[in-house]
Amino acid sequence: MSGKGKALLAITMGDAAGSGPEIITKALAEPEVRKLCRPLVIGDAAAMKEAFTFTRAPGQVKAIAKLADARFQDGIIEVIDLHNIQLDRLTRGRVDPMAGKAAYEYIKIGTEMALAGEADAIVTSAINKEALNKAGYHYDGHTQLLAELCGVKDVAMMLVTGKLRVSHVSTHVSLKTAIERVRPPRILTVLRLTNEAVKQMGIAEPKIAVSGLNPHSGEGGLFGDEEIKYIAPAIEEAKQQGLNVVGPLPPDSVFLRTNEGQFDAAIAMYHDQGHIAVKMLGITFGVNVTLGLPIIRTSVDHGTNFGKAGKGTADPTSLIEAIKLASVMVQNRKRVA
Amino acid sequence: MMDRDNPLIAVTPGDITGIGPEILVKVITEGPPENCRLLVVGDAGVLRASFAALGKKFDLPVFQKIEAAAASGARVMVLDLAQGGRELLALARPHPEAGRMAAEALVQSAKWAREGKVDAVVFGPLVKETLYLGRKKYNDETEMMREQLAAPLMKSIAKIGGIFRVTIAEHVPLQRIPEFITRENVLEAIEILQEALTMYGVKSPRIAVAALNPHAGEGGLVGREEIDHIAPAIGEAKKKGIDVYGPVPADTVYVRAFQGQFDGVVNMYHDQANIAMKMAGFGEIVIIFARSPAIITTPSHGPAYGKAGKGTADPGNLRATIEVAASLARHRPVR
Repeated sequence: MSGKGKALLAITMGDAAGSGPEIITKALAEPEVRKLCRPLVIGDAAAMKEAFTFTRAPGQVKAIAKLADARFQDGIIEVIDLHNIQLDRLTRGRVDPMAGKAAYEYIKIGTEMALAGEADAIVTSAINKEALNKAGYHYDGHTQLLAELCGVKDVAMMLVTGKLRVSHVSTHVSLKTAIERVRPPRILTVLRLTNEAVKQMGIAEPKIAVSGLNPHSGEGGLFGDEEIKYIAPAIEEAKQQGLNVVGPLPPDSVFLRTNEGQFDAAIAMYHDQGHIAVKMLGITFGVNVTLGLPIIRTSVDHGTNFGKAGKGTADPTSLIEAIKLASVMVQNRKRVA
Repeated sequence: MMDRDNPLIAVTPGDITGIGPEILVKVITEGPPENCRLLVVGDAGVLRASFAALGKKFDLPVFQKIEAAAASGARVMVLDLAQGGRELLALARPHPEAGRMAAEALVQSAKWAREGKVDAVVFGPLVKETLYLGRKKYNDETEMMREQLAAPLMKSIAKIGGIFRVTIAEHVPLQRIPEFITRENVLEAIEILQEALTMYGVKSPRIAVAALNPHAGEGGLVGREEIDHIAPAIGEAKKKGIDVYGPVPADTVYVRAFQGQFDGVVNMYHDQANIAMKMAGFGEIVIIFARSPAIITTPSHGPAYGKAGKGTADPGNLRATIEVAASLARHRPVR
């Protein structure tokens, strides 16, 4: 039973020195995951086999050379085997350029499969930025790398934790630079991308809240005027384009209100504004979604967790949620298309 | 003669056009906090009317002189400032006369505290627009107390759950925050927390300093304030023997603090702290004035005009504020 209607997900193995392979063995042993999707791991078959010895999860690894060979049977984890990890050279829990290079290759192949329509979406495991850089790939993380592989510029990071969906106007820049990024065209782009993504997540008419930048949203210009000069005009423009948007709302309550279900998503003006809110909810079940790519991409919202690598104790919840969300988005994209 | 284990706390109703008198009456009639005595400082007529408005019998002893009140041994009593103002009760909007009454009660109580006639002061919610003392208008209560108590270094800090927090630049446009992130300001903030936590009885407090930039600047890649100013201040504080950590990425500093890893957090800006607080569901934040000649605390909420006169206001934050003041008084170093 291959289940052709189910989303075919390219799941990248991530950094082999971390807990990614172990997490995959646990997540793909979940019946609810198998019910939702056809998983295909892009990774190293030997590293995956060894991960099973750590986790003792039910199931086994089957190396395949190409997608056409995949059968998607329960209990079997099929791996497009790039054969790029020398296990006897790998030390778990340590930065290793070999693992960084391998992780890059999984992402590249996974992205190419999604771009070619062979995979419906890509779900990524954690990578180590230092290992990636030491291997000669100078990216600040997944998002930048994926944007380049897909040939797009206007991307945005959304974090999803339970009911809280938060998109960010900027992420990996200094606070000073982040403030300069708060301008109508960018805010409008993030609003538009968020609206599309939330629809793909199954909400027909998303209601989106926009946070202010300054304390109390500037209190009428008393503590800053970016709300008046840039954020409010962007919201007006979005409304004219037919989006259901409210704001700018005070940053210290907008995320709480979104989490309580008053809004379907919130727009954060800078990295920490959104991340503080999300992380207070706990990161075990958080999912990171890249908006603006021509493909659907979700990811775990945690790091490589070197401390737990090789111990079999890493928590698979975030990957399970990332797989579920990607599957839902694929189904809704098919419906809309 | 003060009793260290049973401190005398002066409590003012704050702006009487708001919920201040109502929540104060509720704290008293629902059973005032243990291990302290309360001296309500304000107009006795306003107090009587506030009890009546809630259908409660007023049976507190009323004094005109602080010495007589302090010596009385009563658990809850009133020091009558004979200000009048009954007609302003629960007016539900700012009024200059009510602002003047609130400021007068606060400054008088604080002066008594400085003189050792009371052990601590708790003042009820005020509104900045009507903060007059005589004919002089102040921008906020910190500015007023700095001048009136000749304490130019006074700074407000907050206690949230078990965590003490100080913010370097609070009500400032985000764009201007980097100007305030200097080695001197960060070190001062660390020292203020160290003093306040020690005064609260926390032995060798652990203090975290939040970063300004995402991922704590990531070694200068996304901002240099951590390297140029925050880390040097932390180094200096460590040399002074303070147990200080950081710069800690702002998106995990409160996660870790609430897990019990830190007793105090130095924040760079308003929302760094407030987003985390609200997500954690902390409504009852107590404001404490550090570098003050007396122990002074106040609830974090305002006069809540929308609720004035309805009898529905929640006294929880005021009660917590009195408890913090009493605890600070009990732990205060012997003068």
